[in-house]
Amino acid sequence: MGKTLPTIHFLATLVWMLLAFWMIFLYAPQELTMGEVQRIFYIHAPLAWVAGTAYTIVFSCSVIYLWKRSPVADDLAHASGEVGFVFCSSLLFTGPLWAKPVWGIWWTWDARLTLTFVLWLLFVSYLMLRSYVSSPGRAATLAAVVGIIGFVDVPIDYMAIRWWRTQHPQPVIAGGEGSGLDPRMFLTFMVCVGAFHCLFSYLLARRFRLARARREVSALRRSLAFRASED
Amino acid sequence: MRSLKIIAAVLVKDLRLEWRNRETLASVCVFGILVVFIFNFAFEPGREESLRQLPGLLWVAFAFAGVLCFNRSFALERENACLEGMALAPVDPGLVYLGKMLANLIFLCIAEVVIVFAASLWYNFSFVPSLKWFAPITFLCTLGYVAVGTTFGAVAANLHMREVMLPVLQFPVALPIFIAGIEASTGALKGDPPSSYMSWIKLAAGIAVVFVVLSYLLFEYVLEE
Amino acid sequence: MYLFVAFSALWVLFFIYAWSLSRRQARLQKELEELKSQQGVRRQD
Repeated sequence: MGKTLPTIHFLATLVWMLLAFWMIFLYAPQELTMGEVQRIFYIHAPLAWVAGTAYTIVFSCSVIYLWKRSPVADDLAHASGEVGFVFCSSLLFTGPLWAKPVWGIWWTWDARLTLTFVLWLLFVSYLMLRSYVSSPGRAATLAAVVGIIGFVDVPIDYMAIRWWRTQHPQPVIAGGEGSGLDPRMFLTFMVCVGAFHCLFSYLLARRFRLARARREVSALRRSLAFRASED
Repeated sequence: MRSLKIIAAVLVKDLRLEWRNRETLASVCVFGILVVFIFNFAFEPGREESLRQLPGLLWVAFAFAGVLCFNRSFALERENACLEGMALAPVDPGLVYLGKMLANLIFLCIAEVVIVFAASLWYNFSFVPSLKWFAPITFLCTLGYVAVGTTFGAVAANLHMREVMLPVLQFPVALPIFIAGIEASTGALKGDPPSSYMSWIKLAAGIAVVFVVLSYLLFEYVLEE
Repeated sequence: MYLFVAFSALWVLFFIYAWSLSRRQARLQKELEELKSQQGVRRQD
């Protein structure tokens, strides 16, 4: 594998994240009604997109695994589940920090928040299932089934602020009339989306390598035990 | 058609097993009634509040009754290695799923009737006027719930932590159906025009269809060793 | 104030996760080396 590619990945992530933060604080203009605290939007919303990406990867790799039985797909699904859990937790953490100063409440059970909490639970249950099944082959298959069925929540969650009247703000990026951002805000936002996806991909790659290493260790252990039993 | 015969075979087997000792039905009904009972003491609602609380309360009772039902449904398959037997049988595993799902649907519906009856008694609330919409809504949402519950029951049956993992796995996935059921039921019980909650019904129907189809396709992976 | 908490907490969270990944990787790497050397020893037998 070598050390060069991961190092480049790390540096690229670092640079992109630093750029993003510079833009968040020094480039993007201040929002009219909410003031400085609105800047949380530039982390909160991209985190949501990443969480969605993460679960989509879990879903696609689950499908591929059931179809092709590829260990790479299984490892990638597991890795995406774990890293996605971290991002989804951050999402649920930053949301209330924005809500409290702006709405006066930490939380409410509207459609968007509820379904996003459900997404978080989906990550948790996915990871729990993986750790509670003893045989790795069974774990992979069952987790894949769960990953596929759970994906139903993701599109509903995305559409939630369009289908229902929610406490959560209406779409500003891809919404209908009344949406749209100041161009500098839009640019900042897109840079942040990229930065967080880059961070996600970096952590995903590391977690994936970890999974592969674990697989190698198990295989080696098995072959050594086998050879020991031969003597 | 051969497929229907297979589904019927699995269904009849489960029904017959249940008829012999009625364990699942008894425990599910009793548990559901207990939930209503506890809620009654926890909240002691007046007349107006009853309407607000009832749909939620009912669905909490249905949800937990369902957990019991799905757990038992596959617990009894574990004895005598029936699960492996089903996996080895030369039939489409999806059909086995449909059979088990229908059995669970029947059991849960019976339990729901009992639970609703208990609730109407203790809350002095009559469901009869709104039955025309309340019954189909409840049935539809139960169908969606049983669709995932049966699948996850089979998944959880593989784990030694199955009693914990079944709710953990299925509640996040089933939550949209519960919410749709509660919202639509509230509208129906209040006597609102059906158009006001039709969107919830459509949502529940859509989700139910997706769950049944997905489970049908994926069940072979759940059964395999 | 909330802004500050959000940003700093986020950094902390991600660093903790990245660090946990590093630790697990290092542990596995060590195990891999051990097993490989065992395998080498056995091959010589």
